[in-house]
Amino acid sequence: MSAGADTTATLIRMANQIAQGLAREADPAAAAAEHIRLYWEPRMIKALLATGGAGLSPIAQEAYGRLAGA
Amino acid sequence: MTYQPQADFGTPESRSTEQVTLTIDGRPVTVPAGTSVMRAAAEIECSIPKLCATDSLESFGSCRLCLVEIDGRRGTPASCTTPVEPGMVVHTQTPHLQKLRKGVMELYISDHPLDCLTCAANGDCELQDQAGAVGLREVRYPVEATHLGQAKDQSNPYFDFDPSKCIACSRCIRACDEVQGTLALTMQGRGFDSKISAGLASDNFLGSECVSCGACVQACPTATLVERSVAEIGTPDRAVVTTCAYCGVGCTFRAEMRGEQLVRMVPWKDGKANHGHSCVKGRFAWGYAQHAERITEPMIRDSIDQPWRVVSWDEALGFAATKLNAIKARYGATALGGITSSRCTNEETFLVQKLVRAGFGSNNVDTCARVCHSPTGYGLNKTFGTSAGTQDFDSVDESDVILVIGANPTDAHPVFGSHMKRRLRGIDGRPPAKLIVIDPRRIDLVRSPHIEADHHLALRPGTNVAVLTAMAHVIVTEGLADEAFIRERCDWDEYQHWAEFVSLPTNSPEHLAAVTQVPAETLRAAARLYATGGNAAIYYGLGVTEHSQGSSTVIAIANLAMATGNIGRRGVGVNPLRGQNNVQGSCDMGSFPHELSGYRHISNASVRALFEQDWGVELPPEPGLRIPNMLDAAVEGTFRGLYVQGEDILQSDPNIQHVAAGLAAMDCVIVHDLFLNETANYAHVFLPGSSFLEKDGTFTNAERRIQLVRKVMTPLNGMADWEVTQALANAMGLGWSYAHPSEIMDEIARLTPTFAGVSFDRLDKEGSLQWPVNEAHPDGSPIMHVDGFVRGKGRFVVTDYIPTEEKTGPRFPLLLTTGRILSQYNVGAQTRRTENSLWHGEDQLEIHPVDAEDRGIRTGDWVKLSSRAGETTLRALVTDRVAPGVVYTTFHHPDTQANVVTTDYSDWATNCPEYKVTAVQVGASNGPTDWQRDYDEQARRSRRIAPVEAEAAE
Repeated sequence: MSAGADTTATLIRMANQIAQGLAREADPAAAAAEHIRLYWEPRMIKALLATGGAGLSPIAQEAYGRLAGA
Repeated sequence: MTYQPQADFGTPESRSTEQVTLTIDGRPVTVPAGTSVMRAAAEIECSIPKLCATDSLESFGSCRLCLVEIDGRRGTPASCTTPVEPGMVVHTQTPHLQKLRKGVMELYISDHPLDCLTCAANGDCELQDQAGAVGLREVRYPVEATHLGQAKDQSNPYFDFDPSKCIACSRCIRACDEVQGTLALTMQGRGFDSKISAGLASDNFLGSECVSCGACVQACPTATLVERSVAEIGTPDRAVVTTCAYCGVGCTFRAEMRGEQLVRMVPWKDGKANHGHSCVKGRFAWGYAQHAERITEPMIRDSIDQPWRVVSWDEALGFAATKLNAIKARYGATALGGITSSRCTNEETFLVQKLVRAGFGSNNVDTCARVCHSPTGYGLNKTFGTSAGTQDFDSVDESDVILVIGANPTDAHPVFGSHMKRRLRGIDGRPPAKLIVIDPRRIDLVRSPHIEADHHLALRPGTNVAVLTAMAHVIVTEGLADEAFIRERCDWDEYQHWAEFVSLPTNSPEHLAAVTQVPAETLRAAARLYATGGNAAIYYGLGVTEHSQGSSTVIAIANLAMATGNIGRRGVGVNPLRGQNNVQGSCDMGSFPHELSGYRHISNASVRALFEQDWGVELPPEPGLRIPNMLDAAVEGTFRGLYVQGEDILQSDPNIQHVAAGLAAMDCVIVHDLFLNETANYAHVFLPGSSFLEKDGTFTNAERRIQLVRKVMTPLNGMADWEVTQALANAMGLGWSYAHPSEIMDEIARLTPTFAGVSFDRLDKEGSLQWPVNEAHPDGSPIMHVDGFVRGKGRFVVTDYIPTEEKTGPRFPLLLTTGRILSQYNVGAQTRRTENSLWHGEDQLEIHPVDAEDRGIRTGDWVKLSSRAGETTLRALVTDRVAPGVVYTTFHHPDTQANVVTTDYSDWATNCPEYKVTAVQVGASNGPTDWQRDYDEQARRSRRIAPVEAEAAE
């Protein structure tokens, strides 16, 4: 995805929602990164990584870091 | 098979394990204690004459025809009301009995029309049969005062009521009471004036509370209540057992046929899901299958502003394959995808996902379960280790407490709704089950004849997790948790972590009442009842899943069941009520982009290898796009071709304007359906589909029950849907050669461990199988997690209540929630094309009197419903069924376009749309919105079909 404004906003929102949904896990950032790896198509992950991470919550930001480092 | 009516043993089966032996007409017979003499006789094919008895109803003893003589007893007791006793000696035919019966029959016939030759029930009339059986040869009574010549009630579109033919046996009334539980019918007047009445004397059948389930018609021994189709066509000459294509209950029916013409659908008594009961949809609303609007020839066009061109199958498939191959060559495999249907068979669904994965070369396959039960799959897998409900329907017979949350069984799953109502009324002789309803709306179960919920938690939409967490708070802090069960079956550390969380004062009912609007005492009482009332079962529907916290709610439900030990035996469990006939099956078959059949993740190399070896291709290891992501990618330009089988995403998915933009951006949209549905407005290829009457296959219902769908007529379009998918695959060069759906099931069984023991042969012999069917469970699994959870230890997961981002405010002060009504089904593609629209011709907006008065709205007014996503118009219905601040509508009619209003917010884990919560405003309106007008114009233009040019005469 070339990630237009709408799609970028959707992906950021989804990532934040996932991070919030898994915030009570033992390692929330790892769980969020794993969830994204398990359920997101590679284009979506690539587009998320292309955003630079602006607008992500702290847990989502950390998950973002793990996805980027993978 | 040739036509045989279903066997009728006269009175219901006894469930006693004690056996009793007696002698009937000199022959010994052994039956369970509690069996009637009538039934015991029927077991040895001795048919005692009867009229008021039928085995779907309790014995009544009114017709005086089934009299017998019993050695040592005085008189002639009725065999239907006399239970067997050890050593009893019964005579069913003596000169005395013969004389008595003949006298009784003579009285019946003296007040019955003798138009047998022209009667709709000719050849299928119990009165006629019994007159023959008792040897009636003359009627000596003068024709003076009779009930003959009364007007028929033909208000119901599917059956006629002719009171002249009524023998006042009360079977219809008892069926409405005992089987359906609506109690719409009554006996009006006494003695000679006795008359069956639907509702009040002023009502006719259509205007009464009758829900047209057909139980009375099935019970009637004469032509008093008879299907209109039988009156018009005649009696059937063969019957084929098949499975209903409406909701997830999965009723089995006998399709009663004459030639290739369907005469009637009659619920099958041996059906394990429905036990001989039906609802207005499955029983009567099958006329859509032959509706004039059905498209039976393939059509193509280069762009959606052109009219459709009718072409041959070869041309249509060639056109589609060329376009798909071109997209793949230019943009790569990931630009293609498909959507499988929960209305199609397991075999058809499996083939579509195989076409996408093995043919298109991507994992971009999704299914309509995305928008209904995807959170069920996620939530139950996380906690229990399997993506399915835990019980069979019959389990409810042993429930002491029933908790219904976000489901409306009497409308959306009516046959199971009736089953549940029998338990709630205790008409099985046991104390009635207690009932807790958690729903923002006062659904029928909350208060209906002879049923009243012990607790109705009318929560604010969007606060399910808060309510369930507060219930958990009560259970844990009041010491009601079943710690022995938890220690044995669940991860104790995780339980403690969870228990600590739910015990926080911020999770108390008192604290959360401000959010949930449920009084704390009501919530506490409901929690105590669920935890301590005996066997407690939870039933839930889309009011749980279609939320931004849908998956968390499913998890919270699973937590409650584990914490109270309500899992792993009959009468308890977690039961998702599935919307469509094959939601469970389409999910099982690998329709989700991240997993192969049997819920195995695509990243698992050994699972992938199994499929790669079988299919001879390499599969991509990453998950594909989900439906909303496909549409996003289409707008972005990286997703360009879609094959949609039996789905109407333009009507059923949220935020229609976004769906339309996504579809419009694609180069090739292939719609495979019975009708030119709304999605077809944006399609380039239309492949005509076949109805469930026209194909072989299997559906899997909400209890994981796999049942056969049997072909009873030739497909109008020439091919069953699995054949169409195969033809498309072969046009793309894949070389598939399935000769019958049973071969596809063999492949599914070969590749899916939970289906290992399933085959068409076995299903044909055994009627149905509940997965898993494998080495560990050779005969299937009615109840799951019996000796331990599938995942090992049950897992408690903390569920924080996180309010949805969809908030009310000054511009949009009301919350809209959506649901279904009994007579219509989903987007209405089928039921709108039947007489069911007589009951529900348009979607209405339910609004509380206070909110209506504030806005000057009265019932019947046109109102504009607007949200941040869009606006539409529909008529208002002012009712206190909804709470102040909440409005409700159905989504059965495309001209209402309720999904113009719903937003694209979705469940955090699965992207299941948040249909159940939309902030809206409601105001007076003069008529359709601009969007509705533009949409109508686009749809009208898009549906044009170019006239076929006449071929030159040779």
